[in-house]
Amino acid sequence: MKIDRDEARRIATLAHLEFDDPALERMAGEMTKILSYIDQLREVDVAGFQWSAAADSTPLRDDVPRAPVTRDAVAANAPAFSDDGHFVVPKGIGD
Amino acid sequence: MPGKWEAVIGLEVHARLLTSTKIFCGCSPAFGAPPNTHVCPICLGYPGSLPVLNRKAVELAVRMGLATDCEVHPRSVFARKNYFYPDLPKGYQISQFDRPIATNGRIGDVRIRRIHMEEDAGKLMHHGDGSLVDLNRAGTPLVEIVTEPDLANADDAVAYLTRLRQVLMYTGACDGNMEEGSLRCDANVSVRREGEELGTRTETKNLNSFRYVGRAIEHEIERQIAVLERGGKIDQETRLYDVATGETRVMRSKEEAHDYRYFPDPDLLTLDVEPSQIEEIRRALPELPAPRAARYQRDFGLSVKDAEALVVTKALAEYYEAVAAEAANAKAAANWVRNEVLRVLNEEKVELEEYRVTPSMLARLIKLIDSGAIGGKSAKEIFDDMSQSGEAPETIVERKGLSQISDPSAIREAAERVITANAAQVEQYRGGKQQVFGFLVGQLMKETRGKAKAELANAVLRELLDR
Repeated sequence: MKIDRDEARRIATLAHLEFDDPALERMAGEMTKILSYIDQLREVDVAGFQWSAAADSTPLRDDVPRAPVTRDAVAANAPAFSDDGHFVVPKGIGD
Repeated sequence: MPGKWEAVIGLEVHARLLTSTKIFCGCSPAFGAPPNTHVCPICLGYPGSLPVLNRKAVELAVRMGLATDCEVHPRSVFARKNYFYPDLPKGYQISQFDRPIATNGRIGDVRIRRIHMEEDAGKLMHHGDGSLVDLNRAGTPLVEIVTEPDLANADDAVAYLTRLRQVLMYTGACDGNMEEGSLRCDANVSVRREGEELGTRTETKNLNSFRYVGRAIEHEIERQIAVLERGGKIDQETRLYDVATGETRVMRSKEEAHDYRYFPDPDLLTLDVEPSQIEEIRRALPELPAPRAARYQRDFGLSVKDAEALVVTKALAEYYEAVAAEAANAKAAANWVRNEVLRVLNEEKVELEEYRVTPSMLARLIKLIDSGAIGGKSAKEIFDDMSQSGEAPETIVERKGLSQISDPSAIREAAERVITANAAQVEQYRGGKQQVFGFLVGQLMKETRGKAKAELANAVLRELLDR
């Protein structure tokens, strides 16, 4: 599968990233390489392989509360934290 | 001539599941805690933390699927829904996309397209030139219940929501508390001329009361018709309902690649629920409001209105049934519960669970009436007393001396006093003016303070007058 420059630009927009044209060209090339590897994996013969329900189910947890982390610990890792215990973030576009 | 306008509406309801912990971690999802005190590395989205699914949340989602006649899938898949917003610490929401836990159900005439599980986001408040983020709500377990576009107007939408809320509360999946955001609704609305193809739809977000849902839909229908009649076109967009103005306004455009880049969450394997477990959950489901109301009409001979009013909550229905069974009078029980019990609960803002009058007390009161021991008027007085004092009906009858007089000699004495005191009216009656009889009965009831048994009072009085 080939990723062209337009597709690379679309993905960049969705990821909120900006690239100039030469960079887009380079990204398109690299992504194409990655996807070619996936194509290669597709050639593996998996006929006869059975999914087993037991082996790949997500584990479940009982609904038993656990202690939260302290607010000091939360605040320590926050770039900005208000006195009343909120994270402070820059105002978003259109807010 | 162009056809009449008609609206096509579908609803998406987010319901908070009633668990003790969040969907993927052991933090409490309780509403109203101080900001950022119910958080841990998982719901804060710290790198390297791993989500582990809450068994109870799965059970409640399965219950909802079964209660809405959905097909519940033994295997479903969690996906990442990617978007950038500060209330979403991981940069993605864990949700279900192409393989939800349940599909193809219905509530009444409204088809349910799908029910999927997901985590709630945090809360964002705008403040000065920044925004404040509280992540207590992040990771709260939700089900999103999506209808087909089967609704035609605001009233239909509100009726559907009312029934959905009842089912959510009956199954114990959700507390139905709209003020606290346990239930939030998004409305997809489009309009078209009769017989034409579906129009472009808008989505109005986060409606947190039935009234707002109704108003927002009405406003959106009017707005879209006005735009189209002016020759304009409807943009596919997300709108917000403004409570103050009663209008909807654009929140964001859905056109510009609003692509969430869903993909299966590699941190979670498939969710597998054994079919035997699904059956077990099905067997444990309570009787739901619609079949319950039908049973009341069929077995108890109640009217549609009475039956529907009594099944509004499971607690009320159970209360009613307990009264009806013990009183052996389902209709009287329905009247008392619907009119008197609900009135008192409403007036005094009490919950049924903490109401002083137990089903047995009310049932015994009804029995006292049915046996002729007390009259209807006294019954009301005893009922109000019970609501206040919490005393047994028999005790109150005793204390107030309200036992109905069914002793003919006692009534005769009272009737004689009435006849003496109202000589003029007695004269009129005896002269052929039958209507005066009613007045004299009234006097007799007054004389006995309403305790005379009505049939007996009539008979005795007539006997004395016609002598």
